Amino acid sequence: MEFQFAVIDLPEWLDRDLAFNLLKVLAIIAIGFVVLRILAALTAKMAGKKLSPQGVMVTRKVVLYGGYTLILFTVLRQMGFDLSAIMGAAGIAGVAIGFASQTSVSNLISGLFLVSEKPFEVGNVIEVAGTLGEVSSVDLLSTKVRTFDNRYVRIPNEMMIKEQVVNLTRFPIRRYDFQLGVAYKEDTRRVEAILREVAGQNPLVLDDPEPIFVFKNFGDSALEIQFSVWFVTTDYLKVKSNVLTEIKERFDVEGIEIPFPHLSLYAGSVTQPFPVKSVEK
Amino acid sequence: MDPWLGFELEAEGSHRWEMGEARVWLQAREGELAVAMLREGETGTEEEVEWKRWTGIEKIGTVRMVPTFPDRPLVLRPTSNVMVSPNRTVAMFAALPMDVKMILEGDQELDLWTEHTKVVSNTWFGDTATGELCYSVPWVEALTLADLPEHPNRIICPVSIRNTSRDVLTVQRFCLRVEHLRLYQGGGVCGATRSQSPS
Repeated sequence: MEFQFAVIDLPEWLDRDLAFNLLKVLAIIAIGFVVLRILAALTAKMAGKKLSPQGVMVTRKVVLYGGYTLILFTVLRQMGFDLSAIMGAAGIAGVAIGFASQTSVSNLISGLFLVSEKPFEVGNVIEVAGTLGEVSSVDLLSTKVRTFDNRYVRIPNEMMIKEQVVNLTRFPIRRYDFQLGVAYKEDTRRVEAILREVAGQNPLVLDDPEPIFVFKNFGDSALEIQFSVWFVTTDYLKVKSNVLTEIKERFDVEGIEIPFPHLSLYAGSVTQPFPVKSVEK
Repeated sequence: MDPWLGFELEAEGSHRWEMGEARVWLQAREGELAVAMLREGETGTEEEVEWKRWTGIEKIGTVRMVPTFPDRPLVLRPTSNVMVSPNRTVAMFAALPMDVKMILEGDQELDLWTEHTKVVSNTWFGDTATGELCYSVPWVEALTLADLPEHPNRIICPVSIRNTSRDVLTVQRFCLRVEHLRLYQGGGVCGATRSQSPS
């Protein structure tokens, strides 16, 4: 049996230099990706010591995307592309894309401001544009909030910068102002003593800073009182509900009247009853 | 009966501890332990209080109660302003609220539960942005041990306040970091190591 060896000529375009270049490109991509992953992980670890979780996330993404861009340009250059022409084209394309994606860019920049300014962090309870909930993530384009009735709300970062944001859990303790009304016949000093006693008996109410009693005004139907108590922020609902219940119970025991809005008709004389005439048809 | 002595609990047994006005009930049945507590300052009966249950306990042996300090610093407020003259030290006693820990002894020691024996109020020490959550303790300043009312569920703590300044020091309140104190038993009471103001 006779063996025949075919001599296959490589195409002209696949010369040794090009093959070598292709190998280099593959090596750049492979090594570049591995190095980039390690670099991003190290950066995130180092940033974790000083930055908040969302700061770490943004830093890691900046390193990753910057690295990808660098690898891409290195590969293109290795393949013999003229980078200046590409950069020029990218510039023109960038302007066009920029016009088309103004909102996204605005959100992106707002996201960077949010990360640097840190008006809130993941886990904080915030109120923004009528939405109240716990921040579940702060991303580059939007902030995700989980409301207390378990809805998922995505709020564009631009709105977080423009709107007033109330961070309800920024500080460890907070105050709640109970707006109360008692009848005109009541002794406000006695009411104050009772309210302070109610607050003192509730273990969740802080005795320091001490509760505040303010006699605010002579209202239409009641003496208007503000009674403010301090508590640990996480006890908000318990304190609000319990103290209101305890005030009502204690007022009932002490015979202190909580009036409802009412209207007195004046007959024109202090001693005369209001004239009522029965008319038979 | 000394409440701090271990107690051998039968598989279908029950036990009750009394520490001053505080009550602890313990019931065991079919691999289950149930514990309930009524703190000083609370009202209710054994049937009305909330029970906590542990299931899957293979062997119920000795149950022991251990006195501990509360889990947060204590802010002591004198009932009247205590004045300390310049370069003087005042030594007094304070009765601190006590927590109890229930331990199930056996092949593996199991911390079942830790509770206050008295209802304690929260308070804040420091400014409203960066302070610290503590428990509030009204302090009946006692110059001698005999001046302190007897409470089985209190920890007696000697307190020294030293005024190193040139002005009179008015003590309106101070924060006692109980994590730095040690607890011991003697003469039928629980005592803490001396707490001193920083000089």
